[in-house]
Amino acid sequence: MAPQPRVVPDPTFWVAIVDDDASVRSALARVLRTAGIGVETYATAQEYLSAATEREPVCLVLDVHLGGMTGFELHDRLLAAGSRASVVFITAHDEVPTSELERRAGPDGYLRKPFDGDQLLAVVRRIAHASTSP
Amino acid sequence: MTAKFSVDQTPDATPGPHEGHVMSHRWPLPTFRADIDGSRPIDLGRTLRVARDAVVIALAVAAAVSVTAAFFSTPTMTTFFLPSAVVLLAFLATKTRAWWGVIASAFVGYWVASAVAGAPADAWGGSLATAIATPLIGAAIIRRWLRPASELDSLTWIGSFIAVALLAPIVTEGAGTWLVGDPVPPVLPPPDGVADDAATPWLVIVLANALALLTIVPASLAAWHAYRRFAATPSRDVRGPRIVEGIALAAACAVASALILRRGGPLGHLDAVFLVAPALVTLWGALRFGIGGAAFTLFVATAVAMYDATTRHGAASGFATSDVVALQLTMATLAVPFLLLSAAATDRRRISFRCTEEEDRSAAAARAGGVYLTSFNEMTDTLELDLALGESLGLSASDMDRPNWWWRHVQPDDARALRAFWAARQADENRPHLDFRMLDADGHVRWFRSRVHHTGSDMARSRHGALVGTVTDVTHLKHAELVAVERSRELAHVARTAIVGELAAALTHEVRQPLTAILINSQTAMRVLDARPHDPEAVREILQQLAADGRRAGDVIQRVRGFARKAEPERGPVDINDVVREATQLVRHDTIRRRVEIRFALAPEPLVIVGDRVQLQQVVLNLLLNALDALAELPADAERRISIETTHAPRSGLITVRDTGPGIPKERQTAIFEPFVTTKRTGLGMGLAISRIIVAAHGGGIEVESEPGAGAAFIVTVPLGAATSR
Repeated sequence: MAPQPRVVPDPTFWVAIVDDDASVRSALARVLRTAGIGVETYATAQEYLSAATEREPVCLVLDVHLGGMTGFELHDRLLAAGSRASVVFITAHDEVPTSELERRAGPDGYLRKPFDGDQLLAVVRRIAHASTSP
Repeated sequence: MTAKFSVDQTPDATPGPHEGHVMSHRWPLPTFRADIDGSRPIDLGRTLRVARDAVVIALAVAAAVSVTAAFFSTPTMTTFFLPSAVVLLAFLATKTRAWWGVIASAFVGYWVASAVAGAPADAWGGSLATAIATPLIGAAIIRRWLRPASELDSLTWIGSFIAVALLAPIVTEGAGTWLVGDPVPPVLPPPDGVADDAATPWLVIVLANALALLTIVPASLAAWHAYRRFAATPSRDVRGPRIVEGIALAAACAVASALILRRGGPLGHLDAVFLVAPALVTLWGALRFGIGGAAFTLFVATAVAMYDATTRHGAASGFATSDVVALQLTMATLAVPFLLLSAAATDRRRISFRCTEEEDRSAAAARAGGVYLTSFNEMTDTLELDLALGESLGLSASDMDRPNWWWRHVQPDDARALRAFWAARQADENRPHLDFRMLDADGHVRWFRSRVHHTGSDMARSRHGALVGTVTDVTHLKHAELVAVERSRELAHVARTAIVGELAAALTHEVRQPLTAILINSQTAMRVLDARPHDPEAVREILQQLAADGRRAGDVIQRVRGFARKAEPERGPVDINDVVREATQLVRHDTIRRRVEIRFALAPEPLVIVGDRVQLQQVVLNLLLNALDALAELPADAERRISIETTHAPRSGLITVRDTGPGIPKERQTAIFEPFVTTKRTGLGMGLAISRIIVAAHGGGIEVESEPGAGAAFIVTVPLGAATSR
């Protein structure tokens, strides 16, 4: 098999993952790390907020349905605080309206569960390229 | 066809098929209706009819009095004065407005009689007035107070009548003596020796009247009633043995009369003891033929004795000259107790007949209702069962011949329980009845319900013993129960399927999580395998994660499958705490998603009941879903909390599901348990109705406590330990 291409041009590019389901969280982290991308994981919105003050990720993979503060609420908070991170919403619920997801993250900025690693990598790679291009 | 004697008969009054004095309240009593209220318009035809009736009666009375006077030799008339009784009967047979006719004809009758007897005309005067006044007073009292409400043969009636028969002559003759002076016996002077004492003639006349009234009036009325009964149902009322007995009684009367009349008996002056002979005959008449029989024999005996005494013939001749009053008193003291005795005997027969009738009626009612009597004799330790139960099972008489025949037909499994139930002597409140099975003659199972009642120690000495009870055929009830159980089982399943539908979104989510992890991890594994150098440790870790997520998805499916399965209810020991935990597990994700806090306060010890785990889960789950829906109505910033509590009550376990929702108004708290009552946009509104059925099948109950604005609490109570229903 051909050597793997570098997925992201910027070696400092890293992804933050917020999902309350442990096995999904670890699977997401594992596939990104295998692709050579730096990953930090958080179980709740609060956990992310308290940790992410130091440095902000370029990409934030965010579950819509979190216990406590929801993904949308966190997103609103971040926008209000002037965050520039690109957000990828993930959801396992059909009743989350597509319009809302598209309004917040654009037509390609969300994934409905179940999705596979390639789909995630494609979205993350696109964000990474967009962030490095001037 | 106007009633000649103006005797009205109610059209529906038909005599019973039984002996007359027994069913006397249904006799076609002649009402002798007195139309004295004046409310009816008087029409000419009616008046003419009354006049014609009066003439007929007048002639009849006159004839009767004349015949009486002519038949008896004249002194007899004074000691046993028949005309007063005849005139009284004439009054009774006549409407009140026609009584003037009776009075007139009686006057004529007396006049004719005195002429026939050759009595001096000046002997009449006041005594004639009293001779008519006595029956008039008697008839008036009887008409006013003793007819028609009273019965001829009741003790009350005959007692009252005796009083009237004694008092009426006393009053009239007393008044006559006071007004006219010397009481002059009608028709002829008194017998020898009587006139010596001033008080005696008065007493002779009083007793002569009283004796006639006491014997002739009841005998005639009884004969009249008997005739009416016979006229109404001639075929049924004539019975051979009865006629033979009547003839025998008449013959005995004749023999007794002959004993009295016998001249020159072997005992000489002690022949008076033969006066007792009529007493035996009267006893017979009283006991077997009631008042009619007693009065008839008394009449014959009195007439014979008086004739004997005045003609100085036989047994009563010793009385004749010196003391007629003594003979009269003898006959009167014979008459009064025997008349009372005859009424008492009739009363007793009537009561015993009514008892039999009541027994027949209750037996018929019991059979019609499938209720059979049982009794348990503690002394002999035997249980008796109504033979009708055996008949209803199709058993023959020979099948039920042996004692305890029915144990062999009780299902062996139930026999022990039944014995224990009866041996427990008294039904405790938890076991008001016991259901058991019996096999009928065709081998079909029939259900019966046994109830027992302790009647108290007095009954213990009776034949049946102190424990009585009933056995009721409840086969149809049991079949209906089985059908109902089947229906509610199906309904519960439908409701569970509906719940699964409600949970579909949450369950989908629960499966999608591990599925996502599996998809991602499997691709990652391939990348790790492709990478150089190999990292087998990383692959192993991923594979382990894959397996775990696969199991997790499988568990979710298994849970749903177990809940929605359509299986026979499985009764077994179930810990309520487990039920609560499992049910909560199914809504776990919904509670997180809706940001509802769940608080547990479970009893530290297991609360084991006998029941169906899935159905109980359904109840708890239904309450949880209702609570979640109630909380969804709250504003976004309100507190959303469900507390689930299990507690150990003395004999039952309690599950309380409390929410902080808007609460349920008082007026709706009953309605929510009805089927198809719902406030939700989705769902059938069957949840609480089915929950209640399920809980009831576990011998428990479900209730709600709620104050609007302060949330709602649903409390499920289930008895611990034993199963209470099949």
